[in-house]
Amino acid sequence: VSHLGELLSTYLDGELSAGEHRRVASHLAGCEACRMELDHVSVGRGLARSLPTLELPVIDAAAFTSPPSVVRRRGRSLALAGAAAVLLALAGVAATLDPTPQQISAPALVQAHLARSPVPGLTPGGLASVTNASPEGATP
Amino acid sequence: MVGTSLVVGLLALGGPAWAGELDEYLDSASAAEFSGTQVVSCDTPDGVREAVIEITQSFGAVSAVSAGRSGTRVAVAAGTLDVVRPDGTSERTTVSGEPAELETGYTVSVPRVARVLDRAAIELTVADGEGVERARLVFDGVTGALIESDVLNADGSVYCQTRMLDFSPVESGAVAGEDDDATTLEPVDADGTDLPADVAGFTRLDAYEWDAGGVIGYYTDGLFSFSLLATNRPVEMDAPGTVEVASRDASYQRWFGPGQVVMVWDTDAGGLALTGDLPVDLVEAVTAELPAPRRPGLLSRVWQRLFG
Repeated sequence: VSHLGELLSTYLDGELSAGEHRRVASHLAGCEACRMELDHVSVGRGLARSLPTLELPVIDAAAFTSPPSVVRRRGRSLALAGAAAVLLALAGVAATLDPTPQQISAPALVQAHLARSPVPGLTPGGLASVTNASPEGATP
Repeated sequence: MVGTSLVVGLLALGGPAWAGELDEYLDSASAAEFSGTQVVSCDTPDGVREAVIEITQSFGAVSAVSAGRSGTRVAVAAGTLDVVRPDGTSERTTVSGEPAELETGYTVSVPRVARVLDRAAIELTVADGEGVERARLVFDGVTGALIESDVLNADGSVYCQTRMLDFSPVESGAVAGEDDDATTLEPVDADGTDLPADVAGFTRLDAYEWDAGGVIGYYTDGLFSFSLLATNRPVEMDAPGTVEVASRDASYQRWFGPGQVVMVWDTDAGGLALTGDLPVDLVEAVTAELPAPRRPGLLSRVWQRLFG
């Protein structure tokens, strides 16, 4: 199966020809993987666009004896450094979110509860939750 | 002989003298020795959960094995639960805790003589502090074993019921546990945790460190009980048949087994997981007094969309 790859970005930019646009739209209709990728690319682009615009410092060209090309390079470097700082800050925020969830095994939790509960408890049938819900399966 | 005395004694005492002595019946049931086949059927919001188990109780230990399904055997004695799987692997969970010494809000009706499986039995109902019946219990007249139970929802409908298809008193047959993989839940100072001391009429008796992360508190109201796990991370249920339940502008993950419910949800401080034998209305009452599920923030949703 050939997926869309780089075409997705161009598709989002609206820069495809009419024929290519129809072909991409048709593929997307039948390809969940590409739809998800499109979704991710779209979110990523949205994030990138939400980065703040940095004002370049006012540079007095007269204060430099270097050729103008060097000044441009310094300005670009400052912009890149600013963008990198913003990206690092975003990465830090993302790291603190740590969305990796802790897996809670229902049978293991039930086991811990039943081990603590008095014997036989009101519902000895509760043991059936464990016999029927070994880690390999549960009672749906 | 002991059992006959139990029946005669109970009926002679019957009435107010026994009202509220729920512990007496349950202690007697705990000490009973018997074996039999038990059907468990629970009518949950997510459908019926049923099981048929071969159950043996002896020397204070209960052993149950699923009849005709996975063959997983579970044995529980005070503070120890063993799971032995058909492939021979096993695991043990041990936990120490003191018996509950609670003034329960439940009252017990005058015992009635019944006949179950052609045996003399004692039937009674248990009502909460507002007079709402929450359980019908039938104890074997000879052994004192709990041979039938109906756990009731607040509206009187049956949440879970257990029935014995066959029953026989046994003198021995104690359960032998295995401990290939033992987990010991170490007690912690419950007051030093974020676990509330009281929730919706349930009292926290003790707390333990959960080896997978977090602390577990054990709560009871003298009739029902639940354990509450608190972690500092988001949580996710790992069990087939889990259902997402919307409530309080957010969602819980819910799993029902025959006789046990597990609820899992994220909070602003991390995650909570609850398991117990509570009927649904009591689950709602308890969760309503616990921290509400956290609504995922924009950044979390974006993160999840980007990285799954």
